[in-house]
Amino acid sequence: MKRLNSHKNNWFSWPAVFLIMLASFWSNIAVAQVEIEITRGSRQALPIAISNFEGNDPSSDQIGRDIGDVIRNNLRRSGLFVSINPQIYPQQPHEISTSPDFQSWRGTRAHALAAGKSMFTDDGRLRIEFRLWDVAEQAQIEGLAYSTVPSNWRRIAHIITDAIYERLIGEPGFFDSRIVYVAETGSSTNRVKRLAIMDQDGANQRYLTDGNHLVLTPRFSPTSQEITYLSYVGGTPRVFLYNLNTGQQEILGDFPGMTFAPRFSPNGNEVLMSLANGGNTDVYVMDLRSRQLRQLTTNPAIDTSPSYAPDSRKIVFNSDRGGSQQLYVMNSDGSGVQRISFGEGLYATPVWSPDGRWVAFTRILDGRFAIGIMRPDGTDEKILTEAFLVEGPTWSPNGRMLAYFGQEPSGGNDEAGRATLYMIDTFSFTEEVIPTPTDASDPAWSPKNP
Amino acid sequence: MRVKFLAATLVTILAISGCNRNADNNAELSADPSAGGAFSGLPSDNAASVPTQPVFQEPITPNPGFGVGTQEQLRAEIGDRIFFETNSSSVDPRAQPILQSLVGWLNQHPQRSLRIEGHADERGTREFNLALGNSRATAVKNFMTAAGVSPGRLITVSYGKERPAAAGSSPAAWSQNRRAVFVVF
Repeated sequence: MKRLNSHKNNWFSWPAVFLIMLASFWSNIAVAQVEIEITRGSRQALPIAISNFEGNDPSSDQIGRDIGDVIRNNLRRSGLFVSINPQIYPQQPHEISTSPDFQSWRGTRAHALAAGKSMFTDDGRLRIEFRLWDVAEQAQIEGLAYSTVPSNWRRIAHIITDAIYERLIGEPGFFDSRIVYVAETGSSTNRVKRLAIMDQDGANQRYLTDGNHLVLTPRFSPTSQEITYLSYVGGTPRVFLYNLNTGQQEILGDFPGMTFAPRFSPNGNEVLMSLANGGNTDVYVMDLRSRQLRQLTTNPAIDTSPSYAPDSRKIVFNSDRGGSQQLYVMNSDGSGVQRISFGEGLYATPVWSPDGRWVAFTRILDGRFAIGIMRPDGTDEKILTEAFLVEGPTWSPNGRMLAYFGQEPSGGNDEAGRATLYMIDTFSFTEEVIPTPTDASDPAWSPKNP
Repeated sequence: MRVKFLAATLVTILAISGCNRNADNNAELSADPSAGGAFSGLPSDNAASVPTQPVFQEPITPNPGFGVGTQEQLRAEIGDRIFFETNSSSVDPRAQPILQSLVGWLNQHPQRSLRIEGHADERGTREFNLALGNSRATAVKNFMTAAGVSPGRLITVSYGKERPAAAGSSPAAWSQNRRAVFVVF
């Protein structure tokens, strides 16, 4: 993926709140240093040292090392941190674990240092103790202990990463979360698609459907472990619900015509969707308790891809009612429709950010696709990444990152173009591949794990 | 000129010799004794037993599907698809004669129904393309019901960009993929 240089230097036009939070936190610690960091360039990666967590036997020591790897990888992928090379760590894990020699750590440039202990309890559970120190202040700024079944060790690594992120950045992290997506195999004319789920870093891959039926566009409930998605089971494409706790799948209403483009409401009690009735596609909302469907748009054009604002008062959606595909916002009862996209090209797949301040979208211009964000009133548009085909942004639970998928051109010998998941930081535009065992598309980020 | 003349002469000679050979063959056939022709050279009163050999006849059922309106017939007689312009779901003038033939074909095969599949190329977003595929399939259905086909014989389904007919990321492949396909059932 190509990063757009023209947008690289927009950092300073970004929400001042973030800078204020960063500055207010560091004002307690090292004001001068932070000011220098912020004026240095567009990427403010914070140097940090994550020591391996020391075990008390070979098995717990291995888990301690693996946890260190997962945390370092998480922080690097966020684009906000740079891990100090462990080769230059002045102390070994067992020397740090309770009180580090801050004087020696100052030479590493690390602003913060994390370390901990890994052990098995008498009942066979894994216990991880974690501490975070501010090197300049020579003070512990976080100390937490976790226990779980040993096989769940990665989750502890993600929870610790969230604690580090929250303490140092001043906003919630996104590491203890999952991504549901569509795993793709087979040729381009006979593609097999399965629902799959994984941790946000690509670990713990699991398939949810067997590939016998085409499935598309899964979306996570913001409040429960449920997914709504499109399935061709029975031949007609319809919106389904998948309960991750029980594995139960059910159809959301049996209407004449196809239902598609589902997305949960912020309280999880409704699903917005499109219903194609005859040749016309409109936006509807279904109450999940009564299963009643209410029509919100009545325009003869295509109205699809609806997404609620986090306060549920507005809905952004995609329509070609003006002659080309554009983004529109309306009140949640369908009134007051206003177009918000006015740039060059076609706009699609709008998704309101969890903090309500942005709408992410896909843009098609001159045969190229791009992922961008704009304010809900259409101002302040920024293109984050551009390629042959990138599509379907989904917000991280903290509203800072976007995941999306990219697809390369196919050669024409029926080999499908490579499809890959990415995540991108909407502040720094740092972009990372999310590793998947097969081709992958249609990512949807979960809320923070319960 | 000279070369052409020679060639023409050669063709003429070959043609004549061909005729001669045919004449020889006819003569040989006529000399067959069982034919009893004028050139047999045998006395005509030398009676020979010449019974006919019986031929047994039984009815055969048609090949499964023959004449009943199969997908293969539809494809051979009319074609099983029409194409659309980018982002358009209107049936363009080139496609209309195909649909008119399709109406006639359905009238000839009243026991058959059609599934109309709407497709889009990969140059759009997934959800919008599902809507576009639906619009294309419905445009075909509307054309045919307006021409008298019972709506109950036509069902539509959209595949968006999920089932391309032509592989590859080229304008030629995309134009093959912006289509409605008719499936007999």
